[in-house]
Amino acid sequence: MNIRRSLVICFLLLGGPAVFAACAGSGAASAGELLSQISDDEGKPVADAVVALTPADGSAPDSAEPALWENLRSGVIDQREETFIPYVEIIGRGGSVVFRNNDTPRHHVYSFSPIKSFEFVLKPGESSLPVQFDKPGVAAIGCNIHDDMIAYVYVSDTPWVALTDQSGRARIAALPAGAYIARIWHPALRPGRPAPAQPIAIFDGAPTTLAAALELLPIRRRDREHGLY
Amino acid sequence: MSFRRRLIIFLFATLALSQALTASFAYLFTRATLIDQGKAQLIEAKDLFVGQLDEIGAQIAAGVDVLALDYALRQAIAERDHGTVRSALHNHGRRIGATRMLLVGLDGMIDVDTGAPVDAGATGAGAAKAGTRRFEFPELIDRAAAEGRSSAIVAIGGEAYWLVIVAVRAPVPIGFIAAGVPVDEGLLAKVRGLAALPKDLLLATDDGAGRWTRLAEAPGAAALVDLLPPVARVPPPEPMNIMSAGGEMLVLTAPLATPPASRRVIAVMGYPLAEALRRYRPLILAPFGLLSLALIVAFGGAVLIARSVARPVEELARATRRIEAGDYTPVAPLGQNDEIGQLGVALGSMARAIREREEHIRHQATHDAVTGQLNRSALDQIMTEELTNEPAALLMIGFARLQEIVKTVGREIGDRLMRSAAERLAALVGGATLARIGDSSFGVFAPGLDPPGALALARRIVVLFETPYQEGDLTIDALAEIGIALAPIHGIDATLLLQRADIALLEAARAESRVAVYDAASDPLRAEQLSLMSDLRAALVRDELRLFYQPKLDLLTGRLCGAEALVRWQHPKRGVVPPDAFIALAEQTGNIQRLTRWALATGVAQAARWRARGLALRISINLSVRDLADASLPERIAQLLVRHNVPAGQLMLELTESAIMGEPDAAIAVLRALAELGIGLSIDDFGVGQSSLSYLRRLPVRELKIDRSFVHNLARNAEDRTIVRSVIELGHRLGYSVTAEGVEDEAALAGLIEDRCDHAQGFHIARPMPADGFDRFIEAARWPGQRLVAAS
Repeated sequence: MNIRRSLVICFLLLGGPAVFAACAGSGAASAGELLSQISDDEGKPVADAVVALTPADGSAPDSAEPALWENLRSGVIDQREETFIPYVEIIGRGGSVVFRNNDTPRHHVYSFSPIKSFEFVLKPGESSLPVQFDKPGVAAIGCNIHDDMIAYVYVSDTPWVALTDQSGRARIAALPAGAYIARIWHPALRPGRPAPAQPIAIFDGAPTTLAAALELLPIRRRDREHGLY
Repeated sequence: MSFRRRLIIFLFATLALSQALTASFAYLFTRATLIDQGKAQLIEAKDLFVGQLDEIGAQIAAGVDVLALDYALRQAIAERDHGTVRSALHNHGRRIGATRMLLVGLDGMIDVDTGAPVDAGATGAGAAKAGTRRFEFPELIDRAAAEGRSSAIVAIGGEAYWLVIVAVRAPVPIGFIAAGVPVDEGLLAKVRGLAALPKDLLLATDDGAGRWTRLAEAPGAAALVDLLPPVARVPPPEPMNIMSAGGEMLVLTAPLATPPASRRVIAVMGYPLAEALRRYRPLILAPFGLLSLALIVAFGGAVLIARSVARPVEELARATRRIEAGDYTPVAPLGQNDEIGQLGVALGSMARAIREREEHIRHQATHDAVTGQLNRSALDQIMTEELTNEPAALLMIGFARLQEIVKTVGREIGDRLMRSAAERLAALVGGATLARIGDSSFGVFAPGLDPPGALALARRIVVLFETPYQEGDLTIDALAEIGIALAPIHGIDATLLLQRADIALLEAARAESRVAVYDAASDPLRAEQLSLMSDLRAALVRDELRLFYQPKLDLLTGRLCGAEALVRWQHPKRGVVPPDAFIALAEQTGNIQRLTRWALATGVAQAARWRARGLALRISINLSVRDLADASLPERIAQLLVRHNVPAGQLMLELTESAIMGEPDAAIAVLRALAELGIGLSIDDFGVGQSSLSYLRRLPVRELKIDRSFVHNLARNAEDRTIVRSVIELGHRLGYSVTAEGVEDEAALAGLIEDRCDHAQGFHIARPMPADGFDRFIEAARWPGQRLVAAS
């Protein structure tokens, strides 16, 4: 990431909340919320980006509503048409994921990720036992039969986490006001580099907006037709 | 240089030149074409080579890709089981031909290197020593991260590698496998075989010292790397012309894509121009082959042309030389209708014309124009050819009167007379050779004729010409005299025989029979006599001659009335030469006139001295008949007399009877002129010749001198006495005075006085004596009883 681009991101992260705050008007609840808009460096919206907030003081996010954690307890990753769906599944630490084969061929699902290593073969129509992820981090999931099948399990240690939709937006609600660190992760971020992170202030009643432009590698997913060979 | 040779040389030069030009054009064209072809081929080959390398890179990458997808390997990598990874990479590397395999972590550090020694402490499944070295070519890692894989040619440790980097995904990238496949001789050979690349193919790298150094070369490739310009000079994208040990080459370099950390690597391809040209050598050499073929054809053609041009010309040249040598056999027709044929015809007619002209000239040269007979030189030649030691006769036929006849009747009739004579002779002599020798003479050469036969023939000829020549009313007597020379007794040399026959002819003119055979004794041309004559001429110059004077007595008065001058020759070697020995010879050889001139001068001078002393002595000087041929004689004598102041009457000239007979009118005219001067003429030796008195009457003669043969026996021989008396009487009657010569005794003198002879001369009176002796004689001598008194 070059200096110019870093400056753009910083500006957006720092200048954004003031704008959002001015426009928020009447706050509905006592908790704040974060509206994120993630795009690539060409300005296109980026889907499947994870936005996660942790308290800036490093304390555990114990103040979160239990419902938030509940939402992150389990997840399902389907396999259809030789594709893992969803591409990115977020669960909370200790949560589990079930892999479900809704496809015609078998799939050999595996992960060599440091946070979780496993493998099993799913026949069509078969579902796996829940795979529990006890360590926070990202586990890349592949299929040993279909090289291009890939999915990520994002094991979050905070409940304030969201995934951008096709328009690049993500909303995190029920945020207690306070100072947070916002971290953004995406599969196409250049590996081996720390994920973009930025302190951010959340105010009650008024949503804070976060706009970030990511420098991404070309997405390899679902690109089988064009081939690399 | 002969025409043929010139023709061949011309053909050779033309052919050689044209073939050489053809060959050089073929060479230059071929070369230019091959250079274009070679350049195009090299440029094409460059693309092919790069394409082939990429293809090979792709194949390697495909192999590595398969490896990178191996689940177990990926698991080992993910679990950082480097021992397993190392053995797996080693194993897979062999399959794809890689000599070195690396596992590079996402951080760019080398985790596993099959080329590095295994850590002693890490055996079996233990981890290899890793993570201590950074991979040299991070750009390749970056590209592989972005694109899944990357590849490049790199130079490592003096060798070239195809370095292929493939990202290992599980399924996200967990590392990179780098495979190094050596681009070595074998690989280049394979590439060359696949793409039909030039034989001369190699890879070179910058050696760091400014030169290109060889990385790998295809088997059998020329050592092109040494020929490359230094690294500093960027190799041109176009093929270069370079001279190598194997001849001229086109060389193209192609930089290969290398990562920045690698030394530059270039592919070098050569197109062996010389070798390519060698393939066309037959084409280039073909003109020379054609040349030798053409030369054979040209030589044959030249021979054929020579046959049609040079040979006839040579034929004509031979004919010309033949004509030059005098061979006029007709020139064979050449059977050609061209210029040379015409030349041959012209040469033939020229030869004919020359032959005719030469025959004409030769005829003229060998024949007498008047009679058509052979001439003297032809006769000479024939005789030279035919004379041997066998008997042969040469008859010289002369017509002494011919000059006179011509003078009288003219040259034309004279010629006709000779023609007629030739015809008559030819008819008579038959097979013998007849030739006209001189104006008035013919020669007949009769080989095989013996002396009697020759005499018989001569007599028949004499008889033949006793018949006079008739022409109309004109009848001419032309008697022939014949001199005969016989071979071999008179010689076998043609010239000598002719000369001797001539001499014999002179004799014949004096002989009664009109025929004379050569007599060596009378031959004035014999060597000793010839030398005598030359001596005589010298003597005249050196004043060796003396005149002696014999007194002449007047019998009537008893006084000395004159003297006869007689020539005496005191020869320095021979002593005294008698007059008989040289006078006749001088006559025959034509020296007599000088002698006469000398005698006249000396005698007249003497007469002048006598006269000066008061002695009126008449001096008698002998003349030769040949002197009379000189019409200026009277004039000269007149001058002489005037010069010495001697009256003509004091000079008496004596001529022999035989000499004066039959002389032509010219001589008589001279005599008359002398007589008119007042000089007395005396007939010497009268009585022995055949003079007719009627003929004598025509001459202005004043004195007869009776021959001594009648006088010296006068007293003892009655017949002689009668003859002398008759002559004296006759002489007196005809008005001549008469002198007797050879008075040797008193009786004779008495008889002469008795017979009234006028003068006497002889030993009895006085011997001839030199001038001084004569003077003393006059002073002192006495005739018996009387003192001699000079008439005055």
